Amino acid sequence: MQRFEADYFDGRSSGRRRVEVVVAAGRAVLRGDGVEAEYALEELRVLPRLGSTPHRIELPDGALLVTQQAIDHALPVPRSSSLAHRLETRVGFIVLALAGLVVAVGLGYRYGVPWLAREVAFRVPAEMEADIAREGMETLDRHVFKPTSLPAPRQKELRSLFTQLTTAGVVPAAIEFRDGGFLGANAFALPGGVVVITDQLVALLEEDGRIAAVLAHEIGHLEHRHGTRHILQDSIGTLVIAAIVGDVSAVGSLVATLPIVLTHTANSREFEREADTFAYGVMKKTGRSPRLLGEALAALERQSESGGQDCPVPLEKEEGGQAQAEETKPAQRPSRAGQLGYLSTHPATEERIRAADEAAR
Amino acid sequence: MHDIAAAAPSTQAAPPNASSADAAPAPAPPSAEPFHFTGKAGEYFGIWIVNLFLTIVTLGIYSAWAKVRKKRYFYGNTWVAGANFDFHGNPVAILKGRLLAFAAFAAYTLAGHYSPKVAALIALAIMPAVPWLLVRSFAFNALNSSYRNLRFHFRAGYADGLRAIWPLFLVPALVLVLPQIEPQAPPKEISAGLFVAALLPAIVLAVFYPYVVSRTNRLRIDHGRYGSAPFANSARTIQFYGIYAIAAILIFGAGLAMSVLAGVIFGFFAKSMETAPVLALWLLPAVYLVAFAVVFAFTRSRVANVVFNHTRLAGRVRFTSKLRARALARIYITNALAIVASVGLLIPWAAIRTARYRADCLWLECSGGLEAFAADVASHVSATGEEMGDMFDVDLSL
Repeated sequence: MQRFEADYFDGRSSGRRRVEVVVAAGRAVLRGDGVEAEYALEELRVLPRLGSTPHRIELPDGALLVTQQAIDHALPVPRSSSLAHRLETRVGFIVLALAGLVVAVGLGYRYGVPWLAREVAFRVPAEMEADIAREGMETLDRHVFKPTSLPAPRQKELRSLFTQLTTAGVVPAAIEFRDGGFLGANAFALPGGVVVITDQLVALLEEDGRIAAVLAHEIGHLEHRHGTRHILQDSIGTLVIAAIVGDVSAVGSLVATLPIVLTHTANSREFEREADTFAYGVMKKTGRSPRLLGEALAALERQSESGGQDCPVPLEKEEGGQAQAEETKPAQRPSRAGQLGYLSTHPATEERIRAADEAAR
Repeated sequence: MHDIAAAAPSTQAAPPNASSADAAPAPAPPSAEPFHFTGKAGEYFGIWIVNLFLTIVTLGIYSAWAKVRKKRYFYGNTWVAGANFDFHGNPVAILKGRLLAFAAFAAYTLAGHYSPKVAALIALAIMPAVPWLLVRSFAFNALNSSYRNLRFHFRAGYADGLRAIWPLFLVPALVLVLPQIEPQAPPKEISAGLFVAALLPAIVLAVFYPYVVSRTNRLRIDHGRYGSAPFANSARTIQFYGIYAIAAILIFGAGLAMSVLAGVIFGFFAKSMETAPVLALWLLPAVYLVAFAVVFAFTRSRVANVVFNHTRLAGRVRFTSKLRARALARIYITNALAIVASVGLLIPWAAIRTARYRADCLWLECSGGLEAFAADVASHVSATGEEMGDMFDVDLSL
């Protein structure tokens, strides 16, 4: 025989009555405070427990028993209904869940999200990407660029150079020349197949070989659909974070977007490496040395060290899908290697130069 | 930390007030029953981490079940007058609501990438359903909440929902009618007329926002019942305008402070271009966070106070809410810092202490005791009634 005390709520009024429940011979007898009732044990429904909230037992007539006392030995608690409770209270499983979570989030971020973004990005229709590129180009033309001052014969030379490089690739691409304005020496890849190179960069690199290396790098961004993948990765990441911090206040959610900023920059570095690797391949195929990319990077680095002031984003080769939006992201602003290193979107230049040299061997 | 299982031989004894909270609650009004929150951070951590793990492993499907367990934990640990609340929501209904909301959100954001007009068109297409969704969602939450084995109820029609939120329709309508500055292709020169036209929807939203908050709260309470006893709310819309006017001044002040700070940073450190951006990068977000928390805590606490303090149940139960903006802001800011410092592991702790503070600031006064409320006979759905059986049950509060 087992007995426990409980609060009895009849379901017809808010009145609370204190009863003693005696469990014996397959039956539960309730007594006290004007309550006299008897039920077969199988008529009782013990609700799944949650933390140390009281036990709730539903009675067949709509009444409810609430008790804080241990009833596990008195009443049959259905095992399946309390599975979640058992997991939530077992230290071993909590540790396991925590470890599993870290692994799942880590792997998801490292492989899952990039994989998903890549799968989707390569299915985005070309016209849609071209729309984004056209609008991005219009914005840049209005606010940043000035018309090119490269002489027509020079443009023609570079165009044929570009055509040599693109025939080695898959994606149809066009080249545009602009005066870089405050962006200075720079090159961009706009999704949808437009590569922009600034007059300043053409002047800085001097040799066609180096220019070819930079153009090949930008074509690499197009081939790998980096712009669209960036947008997708950030959106998926934001959704995951929103799910995790769903139960804290808006202030907490605000803070929780920090990981997105950090992973965004990590992804950027990954993309730069991919574009570099693509460039080595194109250079080799067209009979040039991958070392030229290293030389081009070194020239950019030298320029940023000497005259950094008038050229605020010297190493920034914007691969952006929404070039106009990415331009203003704070995480991309400080791009001088070393300073604020973890926020830098590009791998350290020395590292990339070394990689280019290795590829040349 | 105390253990209610050990402290109370039966649920009769109300759990002792767990006011180890950071902000001491205001003194209780005489003869009032205090609300208590007895959730424990350590215990909730287990529930939270298992919820999260299963949600991620099931690619989000479990999130509906997770939400029910979370709500049951917070309801079950909220006590007043010796009894706690319970939540009975059906996870499948919640899952349906989430899928619906996700689809609508995805369509809207995708369109937003292209043109505000297309996004506004989508919003207009969804809008006719919003009053209905609002009412359904209030009904879902009320019908699935119980106290002392009596369910809450909510009954209101489409027109009631529409009357509360109609100004929200003005915003997309204005965006469609007025000429807009396309973010993809801003014009070279912005005329004064275009400027006003572009800003008008935002101004309309700001002017009507307190009205919508007021009327939505009114809708939720005036059409709600506990058993058969009706709730009534007498808060006036002008009170909400007062709250949001002060919030607007706070926002303006914060904006001013941030511009001054930015000016000082770049003015003082103009010579060392190395330190100024770094300083700005850390200091400005910090100021932004504090300002955000203060404004959020201010409106949150004031609105809750106004709503509760003007709510009556059956004319004889009244509520007293004494949330303080400063205490709530302190909780929000320390929560944010703790969450960052712990890489998110203190999220359960933050949720628990916020709930505890909110409960500690709430009382109810009842003439004639809480024993005499009767179930609603017309739509008798006792707490044991398992199935709500409504195909259109959705829950939109994500």
